Amino acid sequence: MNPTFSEDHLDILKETSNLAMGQAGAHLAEALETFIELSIPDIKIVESSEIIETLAELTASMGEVISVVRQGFDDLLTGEALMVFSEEALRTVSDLLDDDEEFSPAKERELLLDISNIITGACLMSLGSNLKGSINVSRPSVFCQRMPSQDVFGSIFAKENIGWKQILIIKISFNLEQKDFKSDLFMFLSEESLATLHDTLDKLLEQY
Amino acid sequence: MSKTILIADDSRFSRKAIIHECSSFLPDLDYTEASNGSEALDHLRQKSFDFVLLDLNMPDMDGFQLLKELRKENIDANVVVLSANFQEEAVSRVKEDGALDFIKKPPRAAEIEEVLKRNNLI
Repeated sequence: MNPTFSEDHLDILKETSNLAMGQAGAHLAEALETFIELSIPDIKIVESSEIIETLAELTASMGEVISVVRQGFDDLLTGEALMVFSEEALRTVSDLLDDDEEFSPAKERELLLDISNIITGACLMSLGSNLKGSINVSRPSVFCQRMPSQDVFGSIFAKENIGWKQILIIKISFNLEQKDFKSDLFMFLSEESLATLHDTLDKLLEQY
Repeated sequence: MSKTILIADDSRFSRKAIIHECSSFLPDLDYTEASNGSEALDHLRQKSFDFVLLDLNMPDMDGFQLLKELRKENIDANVVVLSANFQEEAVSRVKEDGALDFIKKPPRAAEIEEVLKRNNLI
């Protein structure tokens, strides 16, 4: 049976995710030499049957066409991270970097991998360290480039692909002020990680 | 002599951590908590505090908006920002908007004490 997360558990997880977001935001701001708008992390625990609907709601502001990069993670917590970008996000990045190279699908792919690696890597490493452990992050792979969002989540979370009944989702948004760039990092924690996370949060709560 | 402090942070855990860290060098801490910028503004309209420890990312009214509102309403407050958003631009923006200093989260007693002393707040 999966553990029950209290308001205090979710509060501390949100604050821990907030620290991770700050770390990733600073890395991204440095890489792009621009100010990154950060949001408040959103945390949800959903049944696997609700995941596609939930993701459609959570990515509603992204528009109908998105690009997605996947990265797995393990050690203290295991799961899957998805970095979702709005349609023109990477063109905006390319313009910001003032790159001489012409913007092309290949260039976009390279930027997708680079930006995802910066954000996901920084977030998960910080999350692990703030939870007093460590998280290994795999290499990023592009799941799709400019695809209709309704098709994307259906294929990632097809019934046969999900072994988990419950999924904990952490969503962190990174946007650029007054620019056409929206990106959301989704971290999906495996069902097996929920007990570990619960115990780890309990220990942090005992501190004060 | 006890210091009056307003702690504005949406995380209950974070507020507890800040109180715990500050108590180590300010034993007579007289603190008030606010879970967003609007609540903090209400407190600051009613009374003054020796200093305010302000988070940036909060619902309803965030730390950036609160600083602007304080300026608009001419409310004089000694604000030190304590946030995970430590982009250089964020630090310079809050200072432009009247914050005295910036501390990177997670809160550490020694760093908070040093910053408060540097700004003659303790």
